[in-house]
Amino acid sequence: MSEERERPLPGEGGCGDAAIYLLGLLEEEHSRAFVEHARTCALCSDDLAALGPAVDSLPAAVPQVSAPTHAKRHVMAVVRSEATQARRASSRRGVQRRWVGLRRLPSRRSTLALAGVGLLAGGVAVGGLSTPFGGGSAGGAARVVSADVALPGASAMLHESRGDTWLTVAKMPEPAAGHVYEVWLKRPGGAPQPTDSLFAPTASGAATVNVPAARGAGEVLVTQEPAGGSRRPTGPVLIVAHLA
Amino acid sequence: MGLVRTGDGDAFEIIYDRHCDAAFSLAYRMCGRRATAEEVLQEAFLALWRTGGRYDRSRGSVRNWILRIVHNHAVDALRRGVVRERRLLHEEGAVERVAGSEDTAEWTLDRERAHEVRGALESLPKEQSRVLELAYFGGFTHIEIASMLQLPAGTVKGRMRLGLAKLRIAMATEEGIGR
Repeated sequence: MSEERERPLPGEGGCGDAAIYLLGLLEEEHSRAFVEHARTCALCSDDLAALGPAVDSLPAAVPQVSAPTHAKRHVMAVVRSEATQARRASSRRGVQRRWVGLRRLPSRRSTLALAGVGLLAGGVAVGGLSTPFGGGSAGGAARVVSADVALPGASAMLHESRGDTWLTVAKMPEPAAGHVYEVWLKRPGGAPQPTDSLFAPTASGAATVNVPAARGAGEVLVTQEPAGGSRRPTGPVLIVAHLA
Repeated sequence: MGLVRTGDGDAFEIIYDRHCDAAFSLAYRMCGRRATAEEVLQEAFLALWRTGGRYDRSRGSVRNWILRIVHNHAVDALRRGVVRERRLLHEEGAVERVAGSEDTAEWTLDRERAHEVRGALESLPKEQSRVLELAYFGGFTHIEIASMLQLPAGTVKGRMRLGLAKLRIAMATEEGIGR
């Protein structure tokens, strides 16, 4: 936030700056200084208590607008994906902890212990292989597939939940002028079939796009096409997500 | 929030559903563009998901905490220059949300609250409400505002403090009238 911000006046973050602190106008360094100061200054401490609720009330003055539903889809796709990854990592750490603990067992027990670990590790590995989509969401309904992306730095994930399929992308470059990205479905042995899903990412390269009627498809593809989309791919495949 | 802290996606979804409209409304008011507001909304909620453990109940409600995060992200967007050219605070395209049957009670409370705060803001002297709007909704620093209004920075700071103090009193009065 601070790169383009003008340098504060000397002495900012001192006595009497509760209002600008609460409004978020102080640099982090000066905010910290002010917080430290307010701990021992009755005037500023009182100001914080008195003015804080006024600042917190300001958003209520804004006309209420419904948040777009696709924003939720994007956020929850990332959340589900990260929750799944965290559970996996936690599970792996658990196995490692057990492994380390068992290696410390007295040598007479080691053979049995290692056999047990072998079974345990095997179970985890088989579990991993048998659930290629990552074992579901926190609610057990979502599947997430990491897609192959031919664009440097970009990434894409395919999500399935409750019969819906959608693609999220990150750090995608903007399509060329007069072009959009188009989503295709490819069934085994068939040619790519166009969908209605055309998209352009936001300024940060993010997008969430529906993948309609994906059931039975082997792959979801993305290409860059002239605005309005194409009936057949005219550009190279940029993203491939394997469904089966 | 305790469940969110443990990485519970379902708990996070409940938090999202409960606060996303207020969050989006604030981002939209500040950024003035739907696309930017959507980015701010998404960035803010993902930050919230990743830092859920930092919520401190003693410092206020979950909603206030979320809106502070949204506000910070919107200021970041403004300062990144995403919508730098937008210099007029406006509400173009903002549509009052239509109450859903499932949250009518909550929406009624929101409307009453909005009415109180707008009334309190309107009751402030123009020079005080102006600096508060420029700072809070416009993302301008007090130094930028001072330069814009050709005032000493100390005067701007003073107007902000006075404005907030009066806002607090005006809201307390409105609440009293409402009861």
